[in-house]
Amino acid sequence: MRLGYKILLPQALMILLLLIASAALLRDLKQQEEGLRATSQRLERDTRLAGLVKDVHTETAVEVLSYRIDKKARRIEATLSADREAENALKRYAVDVTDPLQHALMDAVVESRDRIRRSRLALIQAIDAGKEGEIQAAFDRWRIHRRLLDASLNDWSALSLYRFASASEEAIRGRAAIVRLLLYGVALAIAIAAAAFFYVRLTVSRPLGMLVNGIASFGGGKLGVRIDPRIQDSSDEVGQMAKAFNKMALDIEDLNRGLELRVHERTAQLEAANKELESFAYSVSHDLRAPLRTIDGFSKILEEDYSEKVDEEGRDSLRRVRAAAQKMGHLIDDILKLSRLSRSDMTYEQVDLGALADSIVAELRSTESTRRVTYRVAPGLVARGDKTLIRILLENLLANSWKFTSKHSTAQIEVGAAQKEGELAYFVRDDGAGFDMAHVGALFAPFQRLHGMSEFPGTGIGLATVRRVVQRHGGRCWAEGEVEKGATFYFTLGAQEPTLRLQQTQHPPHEREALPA
Amino acid sequence: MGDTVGKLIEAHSNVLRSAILEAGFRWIPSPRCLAAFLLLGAFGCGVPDTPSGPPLKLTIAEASQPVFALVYVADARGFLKEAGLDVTFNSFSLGRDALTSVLEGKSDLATVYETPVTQRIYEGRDLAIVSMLHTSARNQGVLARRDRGISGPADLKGKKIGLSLGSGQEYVLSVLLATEGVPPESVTKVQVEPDQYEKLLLGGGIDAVLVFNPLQFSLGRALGERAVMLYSDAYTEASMLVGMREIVAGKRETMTRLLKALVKAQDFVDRNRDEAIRIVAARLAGRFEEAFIREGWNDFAPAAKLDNVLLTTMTLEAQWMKDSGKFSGPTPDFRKAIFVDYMMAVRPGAVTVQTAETAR
Repeated sequence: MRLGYKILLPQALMILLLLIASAALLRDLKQQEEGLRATSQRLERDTRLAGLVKDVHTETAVEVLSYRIDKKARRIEATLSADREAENALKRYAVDVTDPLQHALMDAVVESRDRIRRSRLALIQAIDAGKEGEIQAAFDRWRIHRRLLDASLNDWSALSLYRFASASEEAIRGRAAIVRLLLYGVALAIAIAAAAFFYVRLTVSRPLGMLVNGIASFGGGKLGVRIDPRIQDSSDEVGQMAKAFNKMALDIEDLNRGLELRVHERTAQLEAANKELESFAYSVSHDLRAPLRTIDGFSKILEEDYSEKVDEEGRDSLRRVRAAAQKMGHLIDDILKLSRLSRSDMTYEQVDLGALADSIVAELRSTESTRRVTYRVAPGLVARGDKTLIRILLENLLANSWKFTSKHSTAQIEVGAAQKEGELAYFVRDDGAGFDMAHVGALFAPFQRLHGMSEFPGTGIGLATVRRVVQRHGGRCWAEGEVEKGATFYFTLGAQEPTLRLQQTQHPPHEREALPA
Repeated sequence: MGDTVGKLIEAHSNVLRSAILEAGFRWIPSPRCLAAFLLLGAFGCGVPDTPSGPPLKLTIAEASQPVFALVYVADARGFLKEAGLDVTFNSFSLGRDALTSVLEGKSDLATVYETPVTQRIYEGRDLAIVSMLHTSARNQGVLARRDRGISGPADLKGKKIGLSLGSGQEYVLSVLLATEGVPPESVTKVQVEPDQYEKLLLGGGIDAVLVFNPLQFSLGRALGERAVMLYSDAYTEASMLVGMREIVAGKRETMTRLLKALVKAQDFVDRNRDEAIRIVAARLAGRFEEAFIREGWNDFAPAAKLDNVLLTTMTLEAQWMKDSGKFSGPTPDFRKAIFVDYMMAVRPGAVTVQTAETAR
């Protein structure tokens, strides 16, 4: 059923019920009024008619008695005429009387009148005849008839009065009953209204609320949420919406599942390819070391045992061969490290970055104790990640800073953290040679170098290693710099294990002056 | 709530009952009555016809006459039993004897004409009239032999007239003679028992006889063309159910149930004339032939009521009793003998006589 019908139908039913009840009550009231009016009119007519009959007979009796005394027919004819009119009125009225009891009494009155008319006539005739015996007999008969007529008239009047009284009483009772029925009707209408309210609440409001909650949950990411099937089975608009929503949710969930599957497949493929590549690089690097050691070893033998047998140019060539072999060796070592880095297992733990940085700087300082480097680290700098990898990351960044500040008489190296684009980023900053931001894109690529080998030695693997460590943690890294003004390397460690904590302190970071030994 | 519904049902039941009873088949259901029917149906209750508890015992002395049809019909149709009554009938030939049974305490009520009751009340007996059973102006008359020169009431002068002396017949004859100008002393009254009517009339022992319906038809058949029936239009007779006031007043429930049954019987008689005649004929078999009962059926009107005609008739009779020297004291106020309470409760429209009780 449509929502509109659900809301409208009970109201329409209620209105219809009230209309029917009102119409019935109005009809009933009208009938009562008509009944009471008719009874009242009958009473009035009965009373007037009985009065007329009584008056006429009283008058006639007086005239007959007067006639008996003086034999002067003063008004006998006039009273007899009135008597005939009363008789006609009675007969006309008797036709309209339908009440059987009243009809019987009317008949009795009419019969009494017939009798009294006869006896009155006999009396007048007896008077005219002048026979006392006949007059007495006629008078006795007439007297009895008069008594019986009075009795009939009294019965008739009493019944009329009773009918009126009972009609009035019935009307009063009827009105009281109507009021009671009206009250019941109102109570019934209230009950229907209440039932309609609960019906609409049950079939409209509640399903709508469940639908809204379902949509909200789905929007919040709970893709498994479905609307109760009982609601979608309903044929109204809410049911249709629930059905459409459930279908849509099912489609989206299927789509999502398909996407996840495809991502998983692609990732697996990529991981396989990567592993294959790393394995290849490792194998290559590992296999290259043996011939390289052979080249270096035999070059060294040549240099040490046969240096007198070759001229200066030959010795220079041998030195170059050895230097190239050693450089290649370092290169292979770095590649192997990078390769191992990619393959090693990770163990997440709480890592004190400050302590790590301190120990690394201490090592660096021990290799070049004459340098004047100011090193600062933010207090309470901790991160969650693989400690070994993070150490490698910090070793590379701090070694870079140490190296690229070596041309300056004094240097500053700072380790800290800052909010960058809504996430916590750690950084290592120095005031060394810096770089041209135009080349920043090549900075983290392996074997890419922005400075000459003679200026700053290196293999070009360090920052690639940094990037790999960051990637394995699910984070990202970038750099900012300016030539001869220094560089800042930022990195984050991803959101999967983001239990990093940076103490928001007002006090300045502690400084450790690297003084000459 | 229950009380209100109960009152509502009661109110509607009364309306319905009075509408059905008093309007007969012309009753048309009103919406209110329909609602009442629905309510009665919904609550599974109504006005039970048969009262609960054991039936109440009642003894009625009845003078076997067709005019007591309401009592016979109420008995034969089971209305008495339905009303919860166990009625024992003591049968008599004359109402006078039935009344004696009541006076002697052998019966609770008697079916009787007005004359013996008038007489007993005049004597000072404390009787209570519960309901009238019929009224008629042609139920009693003088059956005379035409061949004895009788063709009208005036011809009764010098004739021998048979009747039950000391009964209502004496009053009937008296009214007839008085209103026709026949001196009472000019006729010879002969005491005749009902079983001697035919023999004396045919044998010539009497010239005329006072008879009540339907004997005039059986005697008339025997006389053939020689029979002439004389009625007095100055006499209106009435029969009634009467009992000792003490008994009547003490048996309110019994009397009310009896009147309910009589009212039902009257409704039945009004609607089922032939069936009513058959019931009465069966009841009076051996005393009257059905054909004669049928012939005289329209000469009286069975009705359970209390009206002014009864009061007037009894008053006139009492006056006659005084005038004829039977009693010397003042005539009684017969209003006091009419016990209206029960009929007022059962069918108030049938009470048209005014008494101290109706004016309350």
